[in-house]
Amino acid sequence: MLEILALGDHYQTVDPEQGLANLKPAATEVCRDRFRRIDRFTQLALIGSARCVQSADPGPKTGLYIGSRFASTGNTIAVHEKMVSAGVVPKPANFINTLSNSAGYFVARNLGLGDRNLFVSRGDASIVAALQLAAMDVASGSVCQALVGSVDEAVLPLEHHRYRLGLEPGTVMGEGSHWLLVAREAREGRSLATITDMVTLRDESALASWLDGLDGREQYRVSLSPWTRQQIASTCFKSRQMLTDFDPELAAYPGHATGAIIRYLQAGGSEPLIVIAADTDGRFHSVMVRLNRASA
Amino acid sequence: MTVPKQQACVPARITASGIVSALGTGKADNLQGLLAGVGKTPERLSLPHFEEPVEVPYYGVQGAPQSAEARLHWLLDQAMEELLAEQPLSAAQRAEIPVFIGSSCWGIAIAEEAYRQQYREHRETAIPLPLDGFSQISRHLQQAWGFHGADFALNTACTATANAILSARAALATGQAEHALIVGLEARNDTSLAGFYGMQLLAEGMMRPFDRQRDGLVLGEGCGAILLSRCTDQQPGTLVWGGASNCDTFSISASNPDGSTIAAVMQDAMATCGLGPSDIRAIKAHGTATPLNDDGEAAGMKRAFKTLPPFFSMKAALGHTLGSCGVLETLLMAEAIELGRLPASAGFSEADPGLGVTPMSEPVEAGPGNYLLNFFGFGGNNASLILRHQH
Repeated sequence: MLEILALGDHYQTVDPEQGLANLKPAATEVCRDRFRRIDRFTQLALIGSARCVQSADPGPKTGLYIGSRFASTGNTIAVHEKMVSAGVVPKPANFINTLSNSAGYFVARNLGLGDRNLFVSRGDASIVAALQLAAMDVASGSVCQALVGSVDEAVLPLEHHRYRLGLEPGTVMGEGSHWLLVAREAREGRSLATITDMVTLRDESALASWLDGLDGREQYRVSLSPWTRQQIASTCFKSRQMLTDFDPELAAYPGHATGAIIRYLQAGGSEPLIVIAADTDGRFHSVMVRLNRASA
Repeated sequence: MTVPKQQACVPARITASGIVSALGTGKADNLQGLLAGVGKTPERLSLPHFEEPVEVPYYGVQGAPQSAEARLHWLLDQAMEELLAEQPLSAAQRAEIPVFIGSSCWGIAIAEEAYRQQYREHRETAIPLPLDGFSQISRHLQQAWGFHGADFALNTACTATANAILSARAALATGQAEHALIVGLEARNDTSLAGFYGMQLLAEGMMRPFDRQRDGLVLGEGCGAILLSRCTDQQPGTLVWGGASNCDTFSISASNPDGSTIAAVMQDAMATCGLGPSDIRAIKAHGTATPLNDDGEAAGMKRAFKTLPPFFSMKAALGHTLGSCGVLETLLMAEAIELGRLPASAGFSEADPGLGVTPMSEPVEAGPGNYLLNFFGFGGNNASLILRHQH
């Protein structure tokens, strides 16, 4: 189990007419130093993480865990376009930013973190992988608390990005940087919510069995990303009366699950929330969150 | 996944392992090559797709297929076949075991190849990065080998699999699993080769870690797989005893050259195992032969150890296998300890007075005791592991 001590994020839908929003002003606002040559992925990570900890000093022994499906997508695409179309050797800064953990470096520098600093990917369930890693490190005593984020940038043209993400043509696209500060125990008796379950299920049959194991006397809200909705049979939920849909009103992007958790907690939902993310190999990854009303 | 509170110190044993690298296929060939004690002369690769002539030194794996996807699968299959021959796991076990994967390349070569082909055929509609590279290794482990458990695709540059080992050990220590599979894989790709070439970090010829004539690194490819299992602290053999990792925010491309953060991660690793510097019998250094790495690592070792134990680097034999070096070098270190002999530091011949430390120029006997292994990466990521050998 993990207690959620703080949360914060940055999210936006992508307007196909306007293109990608300029993140520089928001990034400048939260950065202690003037970071040069940072890419959009790093800007998103800096903004979301700073908003999460603004009212809660992360302190020593705080691990940093970033989950993302593609990491620095726009930068890696630019490197490949230049390599393939013009035969250009990557510039050092662009090459380093393809390595996924550069965003973690800048977040650590911005927030003064010096402990475990991991990047992990598992498709649209990258946040589940990040939370599972954080839970193990917190439980084993490697860190006292963990700053866990899911960061996914949108890239243009959107039809290419929908293809990459396996989304249907015309799907409304978004991008986000959603962060949770979590620990093993509440801080001074305060915890916004408790993450009670983080599970990986081999297939839809295993998902159905897991859902059958829930307490049938309780009501649960369930959030599925647009990609997950494409992968799951509708009968899996219709036959289970205790599950009702929660629509976080977010566009499609790999970090949808984390955005849904934060929207639900901000809305003060009373039932436990289950977010389910499908991966591209037929598995399902789920997180259950229970709001702690007394201390929220 | 419900993670219970940590139990008392839970060491982990390497139940089975497999490896393929520039030194050969299988642990026996790799160990033989490593203990031969000489730096290997790398092949020269010409990268044909660039405007300027790009020729780089490289430690490639002989016999690997040329196509990117087939190459990645083949490398993975070589290591997994050896591991599973040593410890056949049932289908039920494979379906549940958590899988910790570290790499720097993932499926980037497959994405490069697909985009190049699309670009040749339909330039206007070609899609760069057309696939999810991070899922490629896990997918093959699921489809070909039946590992369907929670997978963790870790990318922290050259510490990726050192961190994978630490996370796998945490999974065992918290009682979440009895076994954990750790895989490190690095396959040839243009992005890494051209990227390091552009950073001017590549050697002219062979690698010479901690040598006065060192002039850079040579990249290599390979795959290593380790099955880590829970055991008691009385278990005889070579055990993963513990370790630590930290983040150095001095620079994105190098640790603090004063050695302070490198010393800190070594001290943390020893402290988590209840050890002091005098308890360390030998060190496997990261040793990339770049000025910044070797300077910082030498400074860190001098800070952490009043009397420096014997130390060596493997990279002039294997090449720098980036995100997979944590698994490749850890499993070879464990094999060498089991054999009772650590290799001389490959590629070393002349001490550098500027470093103030000298690696092993001859093999040394390995016996019961504690061994420290260093791994450092871009993004300020530092990791140290402790292996313990006991009767």
